[in-house]
Amino acid sequence: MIRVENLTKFFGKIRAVDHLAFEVKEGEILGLLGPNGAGKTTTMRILTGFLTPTEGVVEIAGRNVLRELQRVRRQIGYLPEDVPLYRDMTVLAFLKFVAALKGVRRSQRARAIEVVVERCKIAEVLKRLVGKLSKGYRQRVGLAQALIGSPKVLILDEPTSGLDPKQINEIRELIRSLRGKQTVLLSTHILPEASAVSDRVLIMNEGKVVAQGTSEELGAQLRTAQEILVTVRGDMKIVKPALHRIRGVLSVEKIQSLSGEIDVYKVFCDKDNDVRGEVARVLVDSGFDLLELRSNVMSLEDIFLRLVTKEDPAESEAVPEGTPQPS
Amino acid sequence: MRNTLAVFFKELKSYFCSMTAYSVITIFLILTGFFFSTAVSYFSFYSYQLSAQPYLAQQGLSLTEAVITNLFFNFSVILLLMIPLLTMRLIAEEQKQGTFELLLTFPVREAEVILGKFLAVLAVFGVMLIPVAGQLYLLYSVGGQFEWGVVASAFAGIFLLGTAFLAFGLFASSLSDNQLISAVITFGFLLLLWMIAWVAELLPPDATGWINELSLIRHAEGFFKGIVELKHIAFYLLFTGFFLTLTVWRVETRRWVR
Repeated sequence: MIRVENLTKFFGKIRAVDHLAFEVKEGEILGLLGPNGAGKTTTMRILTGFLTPTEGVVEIAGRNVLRELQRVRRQIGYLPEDVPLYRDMTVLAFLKFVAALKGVRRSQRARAIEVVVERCKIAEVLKRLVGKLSKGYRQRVGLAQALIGSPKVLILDEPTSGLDPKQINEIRELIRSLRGKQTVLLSTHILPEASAVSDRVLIMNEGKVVAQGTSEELGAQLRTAQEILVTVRGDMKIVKPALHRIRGVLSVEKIQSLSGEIDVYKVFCDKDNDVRGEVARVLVDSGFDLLELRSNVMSLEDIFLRLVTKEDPAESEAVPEGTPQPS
Repeated sequence: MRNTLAVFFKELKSYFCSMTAYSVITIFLILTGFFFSTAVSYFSFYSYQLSAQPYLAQQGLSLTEAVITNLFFNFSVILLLMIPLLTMRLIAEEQKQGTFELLLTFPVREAEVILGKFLAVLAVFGVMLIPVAGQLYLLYSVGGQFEWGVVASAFAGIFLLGTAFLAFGLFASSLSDNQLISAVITFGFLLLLWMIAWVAELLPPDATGWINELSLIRHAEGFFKGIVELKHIAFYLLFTGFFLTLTVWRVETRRWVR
């Protein structure tokens, strides 16, 4: 439904988007995730035809955005960042205006507005001025205008920014309800949002795609090491070397001391080598009390931070001084 | 056309739902009312004095010439100050509030949006002229004798002049997201094209032709005296068309920002 190929956009000498390429299938929800300044808004503005790319191809529903701009725009519902709305209009007048511009037939306008009003739960503010609405309602009105006319593609730029947790949940629920019916591209710099709402996540940084896939796929692709947390009662001087000797263990770090001789260790090992059984066996055979052993799954947040800050936590945090470096 | 009408009605509502239209129309009404009453008072005064001289009294003073010509010239000066206030918000406000991003991602052409906005502000301007017609009717109802052809021509002249002012104001509004800057550009440029006629008076006669042609007010003077010439109509229409096209071009090229 959306195809982006080799997309590049320069603002002066600044390359805001750098040879970006991705596809979104019909009915799919794709989360565009990245820190501020990653190029998400510029990408969305190019997709809606608000900006033209310096280079590259954008196709929406099989139509080229540059060549068939008006036809493409008929397929799109767009919610810009910060939800710019006409503050001096009532919500109803605004929705009527949008329906007219989107080419909804006069006879069908009332019904089209009724549908989005119900969906976005804004019936109680229809006669109020947009400028007098709370942030939450403004966001919903913004979503409602994007939904009018049932466009095939919805492009939502940070649809939950500035909302309280209850409102965030409501908006997420609304977006999730679109799955399979409309193709959604939403941008966010908030990780839980991307993983909670989207079928697939595309992580951008400095205008480039740094990773894409489902949350699970991203985790599998990007984990270079796995972590195991082990709680053991025993002398640290003996426990650490014993763990080190296990084949596949890259490094061991004591992260916490509990009461007595009880310590918590973080064991880093090859991602393809499950050493949990061997760790348990070695510790028990050596006479230590194994109190807890669990995998510390790298969260999407860790992965995101690692990608956008170009740091490898497994290397920067895990290897304490004096510990043999993994080869 | 459907999109142009949607933008037209939205803009018109926006003018009349805020204080913009009301305050500009009110101030315009007060100023024109002042000039109107002054012109009529002077006319009465000179008519009274003339009545003492039998030869001149026989010829009489023309109400149309004494009141209409001067009055519409004064109106055009007021428009120079008022039009920037009407046009400054049209695009600058949308750019400032970010609503242009929303508007221009709907399936509409830039030209439709610009035309809708222009027609809306033109309608407000048309409403501004209604009280002026009311003032003239008032004078007529108390026995004033007008040459109605001159009155119609003066209205046509002020309307064409205002249309040209509005087209430039709309263009100036697209140049900045600051309404004040747009207003200053509009006022400055229109004033320059007004004063250029004064420059022409200082130059040798053979060099003044093209300068006079540039002057916005010189083309209107004939209308205020009841002289309608096609070249003046063409000037205002071309001026308006040129700046509307320039505005569309300006808004379209914004997409290509680098």
